[in-house]
Amino acid sequence: MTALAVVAALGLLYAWGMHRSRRPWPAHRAALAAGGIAALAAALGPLDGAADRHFADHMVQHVLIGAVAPALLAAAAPMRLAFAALPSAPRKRLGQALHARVTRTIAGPWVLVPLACAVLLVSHLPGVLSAVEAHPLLHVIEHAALFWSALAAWIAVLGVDPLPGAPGPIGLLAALSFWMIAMATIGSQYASSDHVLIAAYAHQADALADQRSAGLIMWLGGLVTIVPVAVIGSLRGMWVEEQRQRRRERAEGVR
Amino acid sequence: MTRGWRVVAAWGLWLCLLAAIQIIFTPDGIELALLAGAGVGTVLVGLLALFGEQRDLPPRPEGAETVELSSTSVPTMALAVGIALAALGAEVGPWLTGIGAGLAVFAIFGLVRERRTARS
Repeated sequence: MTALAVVAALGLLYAWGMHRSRRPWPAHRAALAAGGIAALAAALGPLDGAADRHFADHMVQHVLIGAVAPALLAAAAPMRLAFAALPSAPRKRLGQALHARVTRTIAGPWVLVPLACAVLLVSHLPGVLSAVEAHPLLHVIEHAALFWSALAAWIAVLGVDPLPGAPGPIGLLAALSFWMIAMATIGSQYASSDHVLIAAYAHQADALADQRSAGLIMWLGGLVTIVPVAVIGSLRGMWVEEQRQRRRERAEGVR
Repeated sequence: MTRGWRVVAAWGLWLCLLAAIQIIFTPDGIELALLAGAGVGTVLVGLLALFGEQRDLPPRPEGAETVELSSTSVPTMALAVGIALAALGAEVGPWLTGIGAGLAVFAIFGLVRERRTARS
């Protein structure tokens, strides 16, 4: 219930920002935010009960919380919206905070992506998953860490928001590859293991089949989230390079 | 020295770390060997690049034409990603092979364009 209240608060905050924005807010950004909020609400609402019974459902929940929802919300440009909605003085303070030396050091993709990978890897170790299944508070902390670390990393990687240190196309592809292989490693291990790794799900009759489905969901969920961004990022990078080249050729033709 | 070797070595170390994490899951020997082998091999390539960058090059011959190479190339990276996705499609499904192959075709066009520009 508390988690759903946080999701509702995020949605209301975004809607308030759109209402306060000094210029019309793009509809596609609002749609991306709605998609992210819906993914988060589905993960923490209807899926929550099923996730306690089946490991595969638990992994669907993790893919939504740790990959799909953060990616959509980061693409919805929350920082850009904050700049558009805040009054002059807080906007200036936010700009100063984002460009402070400490923020520039820790808020880059080369810190936040490894941090998101570390949270992802640690939270999916068999011992940690077993522990969070036994302690509800740990479970909430795990979900919060998965979501917020992934959201920060996606904001840094996508470069949709006006933040310092956004990567170019090559940096974007490198960061996504780094992230994708971490998800694939964890997923493939659960998918290919020949024994049940999580004690909490071991009592089920089809525990091993459930675990294999969970591993595939983790693996494919990462691919489905990251591959479209990698492909779009590559094509966009090549397009920008082509435009630059045409300008160069025109300049040489003038000379 | 361009320090490009650090990117290759860091990628290799990342693969080695992931291989070490695999041990917790008690994987098959071949699974561990594939990932750890790829990691160690990539670190070695990074070290080779380091030694190559440190090596003293002989002086350029008089009158030789200089060729300007771009230090970063988006189509090269896109081609690598495309080939990797196409290969991964063998395990995941033909949809991913199709996406990877499509990206690789675009990247090859980009490389041809880059090459033609370098020649002109």
